[in-house]
Amino acid sequence: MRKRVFGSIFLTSLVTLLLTTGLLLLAVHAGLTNDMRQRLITESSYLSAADDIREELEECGSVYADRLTLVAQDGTVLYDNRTNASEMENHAVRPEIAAAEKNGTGEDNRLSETFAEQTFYYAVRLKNGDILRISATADSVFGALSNASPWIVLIILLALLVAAVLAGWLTGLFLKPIEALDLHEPMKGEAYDELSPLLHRMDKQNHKIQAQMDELQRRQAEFDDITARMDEGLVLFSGKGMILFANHAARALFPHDSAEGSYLTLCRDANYIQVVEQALDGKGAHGKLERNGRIYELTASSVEENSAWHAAVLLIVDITERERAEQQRQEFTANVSHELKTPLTSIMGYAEIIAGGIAKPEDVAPFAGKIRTEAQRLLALIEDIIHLSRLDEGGETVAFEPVELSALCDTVRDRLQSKAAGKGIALRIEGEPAAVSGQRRTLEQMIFNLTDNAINYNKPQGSVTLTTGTESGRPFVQVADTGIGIAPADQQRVFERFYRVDKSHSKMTGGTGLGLSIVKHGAALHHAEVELKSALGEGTCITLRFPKE
Amino acid sequence: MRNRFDNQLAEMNNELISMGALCENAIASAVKALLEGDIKLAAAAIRIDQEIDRKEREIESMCLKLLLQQQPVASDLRLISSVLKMITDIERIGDQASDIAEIVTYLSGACGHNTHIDQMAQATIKMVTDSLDAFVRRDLTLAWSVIEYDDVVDRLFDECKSDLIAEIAQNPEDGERVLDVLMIAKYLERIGDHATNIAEWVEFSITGSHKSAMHGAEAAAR
Repeated sequence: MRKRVFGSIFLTSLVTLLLTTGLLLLAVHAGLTNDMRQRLITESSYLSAADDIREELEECGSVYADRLTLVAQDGTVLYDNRTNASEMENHAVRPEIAAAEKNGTGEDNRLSETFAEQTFYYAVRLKNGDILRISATADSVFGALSNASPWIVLIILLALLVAAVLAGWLTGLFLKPIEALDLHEPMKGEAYDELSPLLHRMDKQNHKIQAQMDELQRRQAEFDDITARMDEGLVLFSGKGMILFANHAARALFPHDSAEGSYLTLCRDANYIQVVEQALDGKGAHGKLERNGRIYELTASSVEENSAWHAAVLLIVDITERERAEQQRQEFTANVSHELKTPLTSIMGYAEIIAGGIAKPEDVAPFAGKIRTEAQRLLALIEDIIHLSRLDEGGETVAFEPVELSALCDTVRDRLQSKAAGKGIALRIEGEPAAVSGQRRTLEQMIFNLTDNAINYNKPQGSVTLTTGTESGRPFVQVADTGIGIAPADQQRVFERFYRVDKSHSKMTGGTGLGLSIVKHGAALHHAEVELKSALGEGTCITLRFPKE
Repeated sequence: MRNRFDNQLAEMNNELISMGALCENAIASAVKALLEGDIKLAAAAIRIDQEIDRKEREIESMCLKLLLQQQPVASDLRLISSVLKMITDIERIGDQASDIAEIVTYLSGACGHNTHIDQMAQATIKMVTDSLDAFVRRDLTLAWSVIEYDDVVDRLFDECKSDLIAEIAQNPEDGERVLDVLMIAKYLERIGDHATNIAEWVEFSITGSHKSAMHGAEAAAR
């Protein structure tokens, strides 16, 4: 910018200077030449008035400042006050002489060979036919110019200097408001008028950009907020496999602080690599990843980007619970079929013996009794399964009603009294009445199952205590026994379906293996907590705590 | 120009990580085969080793090309030369894993309950994983911890050896099997050494000083 300003100032001054100098020189020179011509005309008219001009000239021609030449009619030089006339050539062809011969007067202006000087000639025809020529020499235009040239150069240099200084100053003037411009607040600060349209526009665009930025930030924050709350891990990869984004859950799963970098820096599990690479190839993929004792499902899908590169999205879902549930379901199915088959096999056996007529008549009655026992077991099992599946579906549609827990305990005691007495086990009820809102049948079944277990897994001469009451506003029922207890490793699993601590003696204690599972599901239906405290050989204490009314 | 170079470096980096992943996979398969006596997994480990060998040659030519064409200096040069050294160690680890798998295939069933072999296997897997993690994250502290952890593996190897000596004294006719197990223990111990080497090269690529060079300097000073 500075260079251009300097250039234009300098060029302007140079052109102005040269034109002015040229025109001035021409004008002055024209005036001078005219003056000289007038002088020569006057002088010639004065000289031509003399009678014998040749004599006069030879007498006093040498005092004249101008050159005087007398030329005969045929062009022979008769006299010259500067040189010897006899040595001069014939002048008849000279323009001024020829013109004077023809018209009486003639003039001519000739440049010297170097162009530095010019000579003006004026010729007049005398009365005797001879021609008198007067000439004067002066500097030509070019001569004057060459004389002035050192000055001109000096002035040009001066102009250069001035142009440089001016250019600096002007550009400074132009740029100062631009340099001082606050890009965020262009309208603040001083600026010259020509700049204000630009500033206005800038201001407008600033506002537009700010609005867009705000929008983008808002969206980003929204996105971050959503992804941060996700339990699933979410990772985005660019087409070249670089990690663009990983949400909180994904970072927690792969605790590498390198947020950027290739997908390989996140995890080196073979399944993970395969899934991501397939997605980057443009194919969706699924896989499983085991990490920190949990199972994750990897779902990668590819996102087409510029039709050639594939970006990829990886979703990591914790499926540990699902896998476990699946496993439990499979186990349950296997267990159910086994539990159903066992009594049926016995029934079939006895029935075949009787049908085949092999059984002695006196054995038929005990066999039928055994068939009844097994059938009862089968029936109990099926009832339990039906019960459990109803609880699984969210409970029966029976409405909740106020139920008195200690009264329920009395009912259960009545039902189990004879069984307990048969094993020599004391059955006690303690505590004060406590009422809850619930399904009477389910609650009774739960207390029955707990008490039944307490009797089944008790020691001879042991005792079972049912306690009801209210603790910090929450009704509870507790079934404590002095039985064989449950090992810590089994305590979590006893509530699973068909889980038995002592697998080999299940037949002896009876039961379906579903009792505690029903308790667990019933408790869930009533929003109650099940608390199990047990020590091997000392007994078990299970407490159901109901929510506040 | 620099951009292209950076891309090539990143590619080399990725290739090394995926080679490391293969190697981890190979040891995991070999160890699982060893502990569970699973012949299928042993075959997988041997197959992965072949892939590791191929990968080694790929990365090697990539490094040499980079050295020739880009003439890197400073940390780039350190990284490339460390990678050149590291792939040798990773490849050796793959070989040892494949050797273990091979022994497992003719070792009838699992190698018996030798708790020290279990511990050694877990310890070496940890070392390899940590050394690769140190490379991926450029984590100097992790690299140092791997170098220190080698002592644990060495101690486990000694314990394993005395276990086996006791075993052979008890059942002299079981000698062949015991020797095979000893070989496996030795291979695991070697894997630990290679993981240490990797960690040392990680340290070199970050700091520019290598343990062996420092030892040499100390020796010279003495």
